[in-house]
Amino acid sequence: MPVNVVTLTKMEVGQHGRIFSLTHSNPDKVRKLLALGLYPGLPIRLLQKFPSYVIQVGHTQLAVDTETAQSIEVAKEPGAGAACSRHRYRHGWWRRWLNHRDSFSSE
Amino acid sequence: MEHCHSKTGRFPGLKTWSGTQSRGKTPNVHFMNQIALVGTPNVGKSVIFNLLTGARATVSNYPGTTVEVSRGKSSSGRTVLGVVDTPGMYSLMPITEEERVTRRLLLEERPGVVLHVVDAKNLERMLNLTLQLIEAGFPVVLVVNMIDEARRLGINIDFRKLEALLGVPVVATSAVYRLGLDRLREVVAGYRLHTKRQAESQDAPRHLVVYTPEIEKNILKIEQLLSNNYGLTKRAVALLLLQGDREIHELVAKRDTANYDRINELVAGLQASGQESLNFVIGKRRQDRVSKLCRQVVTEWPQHRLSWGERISRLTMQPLTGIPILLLVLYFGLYRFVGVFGAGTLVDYLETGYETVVNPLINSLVTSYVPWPAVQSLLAKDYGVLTLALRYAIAIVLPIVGTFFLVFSVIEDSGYLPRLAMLVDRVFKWVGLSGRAVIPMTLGFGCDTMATMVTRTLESPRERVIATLLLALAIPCSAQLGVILAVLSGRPKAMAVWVGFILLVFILVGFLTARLIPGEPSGFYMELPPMRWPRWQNVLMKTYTRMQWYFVEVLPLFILASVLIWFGELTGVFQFLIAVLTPLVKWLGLPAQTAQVFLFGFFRRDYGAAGLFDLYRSGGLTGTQLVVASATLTLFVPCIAQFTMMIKERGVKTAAAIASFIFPFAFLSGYLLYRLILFLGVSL
Repeated sequence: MPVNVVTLTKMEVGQHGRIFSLTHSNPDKVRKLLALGLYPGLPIRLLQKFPSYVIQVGHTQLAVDTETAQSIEVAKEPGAGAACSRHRYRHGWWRRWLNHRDSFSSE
Repeated sequence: MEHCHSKTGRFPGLKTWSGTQSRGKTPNVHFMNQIALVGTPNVGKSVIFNLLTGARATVSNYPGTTVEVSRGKSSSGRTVLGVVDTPGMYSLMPITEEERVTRRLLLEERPGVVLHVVDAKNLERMLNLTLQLIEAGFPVVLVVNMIDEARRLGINIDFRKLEALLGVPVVATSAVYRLGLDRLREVVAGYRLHTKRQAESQDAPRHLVVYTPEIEKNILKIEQLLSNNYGLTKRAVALLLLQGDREIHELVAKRDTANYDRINELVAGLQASGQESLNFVIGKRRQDRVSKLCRQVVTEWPQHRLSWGERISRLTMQPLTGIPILLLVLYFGLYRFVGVFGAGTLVDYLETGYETVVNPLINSLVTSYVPWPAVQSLLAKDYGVLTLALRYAIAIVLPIVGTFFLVFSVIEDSGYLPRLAMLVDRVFKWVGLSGRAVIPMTLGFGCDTMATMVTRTLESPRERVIATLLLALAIPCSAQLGVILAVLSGRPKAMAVWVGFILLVFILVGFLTARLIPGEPSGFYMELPPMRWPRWQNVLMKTYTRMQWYFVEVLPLFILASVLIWFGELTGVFQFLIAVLTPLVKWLGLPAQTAQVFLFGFFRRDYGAAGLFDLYRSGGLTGTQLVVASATLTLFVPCIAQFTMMIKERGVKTAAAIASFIFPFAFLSGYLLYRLILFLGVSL
């Protein structure tokens, strides 16, 4: 598995990526995801992790439970995209403060 | 949605038939002039169906609202066409019962035109099914709907190019704003011409998707082994066989028995040669094609601002803000509007009016014009059809159910329900359900009978049984809820005990059944449609169709119950049953009259609730008695209507098992509650 591929559960909120593959011991579950339109290669963004996982695929948002999220492997897209979106999804003054602190530490 | 007859009720002689009954039956319609609407859930198939036919299918902002196939007619010029609206389907290879229904319809009825409705915002996710439909040889017209929303998001689609690339007509529409419908009608009317021209221009069919050389080789081999007609192109049948479609495998085994073993060998051989499942490889290949298509026709200007809907959507999904929002919705929507306004103010007003004006009038008319006392008591007096049944229906049930359906429609149209589903999924998992069950469970607070029907949208049979049981046991319907809220509203402590007790039963019974019933818990995945302002036409229409369904369902049963009670009174059966129930009721520490309320409750849940309301009005119950009676009545009986629906949806065995669990359980828990209250010495 390439280095930047992780399951959806290991992604951070706001991160971008592309669906790498769908793995599940039960082929029916994989079929369901395929049928939902979650095909490898589609751009994906994680919006929320709790109480359910919320992902954005194209212009649609999907909610999935932890078990399903574990079977979705994503190739993370590093760089500007992720950082930029992280800023957008951390709203509120405390989030802004966190972001501010982040940017300091990375410098 | 759930109710076909209301959808197409305006068209006499039309056949509507529900998904579960459709097996093996082909309805009597002209095959040639049929238009079928297909597509993933929540893309606006029902809106287009309504606009084409003038019928009123329930439209909502919730994936999967069309549970049944609905039929109507569309006339443009001189030609009349049959239109079929199908439940949502994601792929030609079915997973859920609804998808199976849709595919069976496509294969068996061979519609003249298949309108594949897609969401313009999500072409990349939608065109996969288009390719499958074209591959299968259906006469496809691609309807790209919701272009208004796509434009707002800065998405631009080159429809001409898309048409040329796909080789099928493409129509852009915005159904809610009624744009593009005329062109759609034209395209449908001229479809045969179009296909003829296409057929002339191309001798060999060109494949939109070319799979790996290995797969293509096997497709050719399988095609040669297939000699029968399956209602699909041989290429599509071969692909479905390779993808492991069970239904198609069975079909081929039956019709091409001689060659089936050889076909199976080919499929198994190919599957063994690769690492990944064939279904996956084929799906991925198709999706690659779709992505390429989209790159060619879609241009996008990214939008950086979060819309208001999106902001609100985020707030409803974060537990920190989502739970307070849920409580606000419950408090204002359910308690203030349905409980206090509907069951309080409106019922009071209508009841007083009915009892002071209508009933005395009916009583005096009946006594003066009808000489026979037996018929007199059938029509009027205490249990008369006109005085009791109509009064319950109009003065108690109508305002409560009406206000509930109004609130429900607003919530449904806004797109809040899928967000609620994702919020409660974890909690629902404890009771063996998934977030998806939010819809039937919430609808149950309106009418459990309707909700039992909607459990069909749940994925596994196991989940459906658990949902049916919980609906029958622990979800009070709006009439019950309204009356109970009204009865307990002056006593906050009593209300808290009742809510807590029912919640406890819900979780406990759900938790236990989830462990008792074999099978895997179903996973949760759900599309979250954008939040939007509820459109009032939509809300009113939905409320209206649901009310209509409810009254068509309810009023006859009210009258039947009245007649049965009259008959029971006359023959003494009723008194006997009350005599049987009385010791049970006394055991719960309730006055003897409640036996009658419980018996009424069996005829209809709300009927019993209305009886309780009567009893409360006469001031015959203490706080403890009110709580025990409310709790037992909530748990007790799925009413006759719900029970009938349970048999229809789950089968006699399951329904009987559920009922025989509920009857003793309700009384036992009522007794335990009574004892507990006595033991703790609380005054309510």
